[in-house]
Amino acid sequence: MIFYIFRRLLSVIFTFIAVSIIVFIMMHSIPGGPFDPVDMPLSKAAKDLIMKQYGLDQQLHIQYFKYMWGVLHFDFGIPYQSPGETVLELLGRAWVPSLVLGGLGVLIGAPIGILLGMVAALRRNSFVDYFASAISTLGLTIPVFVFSMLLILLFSVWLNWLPASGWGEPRKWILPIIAYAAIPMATYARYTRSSMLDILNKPFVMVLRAKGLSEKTIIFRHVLRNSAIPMVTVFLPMFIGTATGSIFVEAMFRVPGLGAYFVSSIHTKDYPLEMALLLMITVMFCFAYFLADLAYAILNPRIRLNSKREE
Amino acid sequence: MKTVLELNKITKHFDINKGIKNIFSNKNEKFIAVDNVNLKLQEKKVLGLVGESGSGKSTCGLIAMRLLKPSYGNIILENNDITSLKNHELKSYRKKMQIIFQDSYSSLNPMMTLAQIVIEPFIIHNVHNFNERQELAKELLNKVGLNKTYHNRYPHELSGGERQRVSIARALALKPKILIADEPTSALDVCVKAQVINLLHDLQEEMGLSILFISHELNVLRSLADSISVMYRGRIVEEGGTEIIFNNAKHPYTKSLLEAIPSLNPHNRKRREFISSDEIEMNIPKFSINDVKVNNKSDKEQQLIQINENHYVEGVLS
Amino acid sequence: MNQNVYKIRSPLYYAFLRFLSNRAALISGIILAIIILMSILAPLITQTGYEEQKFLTNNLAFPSLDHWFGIDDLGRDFYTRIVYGARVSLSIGFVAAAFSVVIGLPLGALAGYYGGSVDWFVMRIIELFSVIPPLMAALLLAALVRGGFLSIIFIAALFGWVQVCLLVRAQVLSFKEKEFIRSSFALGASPMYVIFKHLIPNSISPVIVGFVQAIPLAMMLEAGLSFLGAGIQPPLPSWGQMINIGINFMFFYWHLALFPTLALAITVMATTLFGDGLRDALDPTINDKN
Repeated sequence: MIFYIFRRLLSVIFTFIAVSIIVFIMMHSIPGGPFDPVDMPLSKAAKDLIMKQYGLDQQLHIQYFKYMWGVLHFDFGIPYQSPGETVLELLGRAWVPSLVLGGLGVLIGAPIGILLGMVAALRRNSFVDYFASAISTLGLTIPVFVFSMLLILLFSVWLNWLPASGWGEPRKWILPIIAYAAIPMATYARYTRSSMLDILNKPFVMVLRAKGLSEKTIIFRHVLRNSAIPMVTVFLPMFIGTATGSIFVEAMFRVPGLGAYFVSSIHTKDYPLEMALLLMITVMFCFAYFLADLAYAILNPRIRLNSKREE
Repeated sequence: MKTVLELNKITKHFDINKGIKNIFSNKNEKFIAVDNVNLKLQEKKVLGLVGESGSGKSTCGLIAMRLLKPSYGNIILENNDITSLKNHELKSYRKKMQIIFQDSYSSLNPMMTLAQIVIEPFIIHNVHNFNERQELAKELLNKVGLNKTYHNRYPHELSGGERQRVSIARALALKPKILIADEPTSALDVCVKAQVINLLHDLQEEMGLSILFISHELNVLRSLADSISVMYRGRIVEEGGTEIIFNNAKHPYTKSLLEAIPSLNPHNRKRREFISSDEIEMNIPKFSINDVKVNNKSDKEQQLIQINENHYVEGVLS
Repeated sequence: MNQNVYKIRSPLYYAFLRFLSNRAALISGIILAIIILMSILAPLITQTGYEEQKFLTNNLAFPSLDHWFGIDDLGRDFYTRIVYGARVSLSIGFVAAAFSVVIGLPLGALAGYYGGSVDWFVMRIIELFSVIPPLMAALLLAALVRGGFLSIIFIAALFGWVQVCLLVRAQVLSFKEKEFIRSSFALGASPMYVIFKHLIPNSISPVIVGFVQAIPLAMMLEAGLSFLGAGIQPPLPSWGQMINIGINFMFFYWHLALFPTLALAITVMATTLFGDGLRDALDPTINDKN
């Protein structure tokens, strides 16, 4: 077991290093620096000075090592677009909208999805079942930014109920949260339904019924537990993925979150910000998968006990 | 009698803890699947190799076919040592020895028609032109009892017994001298089993095949095999002529296998006692030198003691 | 001996029947066919070129009998733009998916067949690709090459090959130990023969499924990148690009936002459902295990 954890951690580190190198090279390959001659015409001397100040005149690998050394100390540098603060501080600010909207989206969407899935499984082939299947199919096949667009068109433009953009007041949050909730809801609805149906058809459930247990007990004590394990483990990566902010949703609803900052950092060639965002999000994904695998291994008694037997 | 196939001191280890994931582990266990096995298959005879699941008998068959590499030992095909030949050198020998497997379903490519399956050997060895191949396909399928309506069918349309016949037809396409049958009837119903056994018997006589018949069913072997080798946990523990083994088994494991065969005669029904593996180990037959035949060198390599013409047992000389 | 005369049915025939019984997939397939047809016949069904700004006097007009989808902000017939946008999206989708297969199939086959270090190496690469959020990386790459038709295809292929590779690898792994493969080796076949004559033909169904499922992913990636300005550059029409423009006008001229959105939604949905239907039809590949 310990070896397994150790191995996975190693691969996380390895991936991290590989990603950082690749991204660093890619970033610096984009022609033009942050001080584009067209947008910001500066004299050569001034440019040289600024380059020196930001350390951009040094060779690539030296820049890389200096950067990574800083990363190990949690120093991600200073964003070019807002030199008044460090990257870390900016990200701290930027993360809030993404986390709130994305997090709420998942936290609202997942339970609804689970409920829908459960009801669909229990009332098979009824209207609810078809409805739930249709919704989950829609949620998974319609691209998220198309969905956001449709939401905006419907609720903002035509019905004029809800504002389409901004981050200020909670009222502005409703549409983005619905947009974020679509995928978790659809995923969990589909998954819950199919896994519950699977288990309900298993012989051991028949035995439980023969024993005389009420449907309620059967479902909550036995069936749910069996289907819960994969649902729990899939939750973490999904949460991380959504809470880091969808680039599209933030662009559509003009939310100043991580996604939006990433896009702008690419346009302005803000290297520190780009690197930091990519690295952070990659690492978070790595950890999310790692923890999900771990949780699965721990919760699934088959794996847990088997590994004990080996030792 | 000429020996067409010989397995000489074949041993096969499997490493359990290989792989990058176990770099940090200290364990280096080996699982010994086949332990110093010697087999001699005589020309035009059927040698039965019997044992329970996990005894290593299938592994022997695969090693004989060079589908697995032995960790130690030699494979001698008609006096040629084929143990270490490279693939392109081995190819011509492949024509002489073929194999059929237990799982008739996965023995056939589901996307090919029966005719295509049966002419595959010709394609691999690049013999015969297109028309000849089609004719030969019809002949081969006929020989195993499948008429021309089967020519263009697909494996999923056949029953288990029919599929096994196709495997046999394919194996015989290149007219091999040796056929290794790895539990071909184990997955079949009783009547179909009998048909396939009859077919093998007829083909053996007709084509002069030497068959290594691997099975866990002793009664099947009784009807087909000329001699039997009994394997237990990777070792040969007893071998000899079929009737000799059935009537005069000496090793405790062989005896327990024979005991386990259900009896048809109601008067012979009795409760069976099964002995455990420890008891088997403890009861390895002991012989004094007077009881055994000649040719027993005090060679430590030789585990089997010859106690009769055509009867060898694993045992201890005292 | 029975002399039954009955037709020969290959496994693919049964798959076809299964597909037909899946209503959603069938309808999606028809819709997809219609869209493909429309995009091929684009010049015949539209009145002008997609970049001709002929109707400047009627800028931003709403849909009418003359202009089914209205007129866009630069005086172009919007219907024309949408139809040509279909060409762009579909062609990128198909070609990128094809490239995904070209990359993924051999890698998957080799990884599955040879196992060991080859497999380890391929799996590490896949891990790398899975952990970087594809959109962010794609955005970075797209900015690197400043968008453009071919580059988008390449980028989309780069993020689509993983699925094909995994599907093929799984199939090869499961078939590798099958007895008919062993029989081929026993007959003296070389690894290349086995891979090409047995393993790859039996992997056709995952390849088809992977290909068809890669198409909507590629289309989405392209639409997304174009939406963010890093994809297809104007005047070449792309639905994602048009949605981006549409946002600016949506409060008054909602038709500029609605039609590209609907077009994208319907096309992606149709392709996805078609792909799922195909996968379900091909998955229980061989029935009849007596």
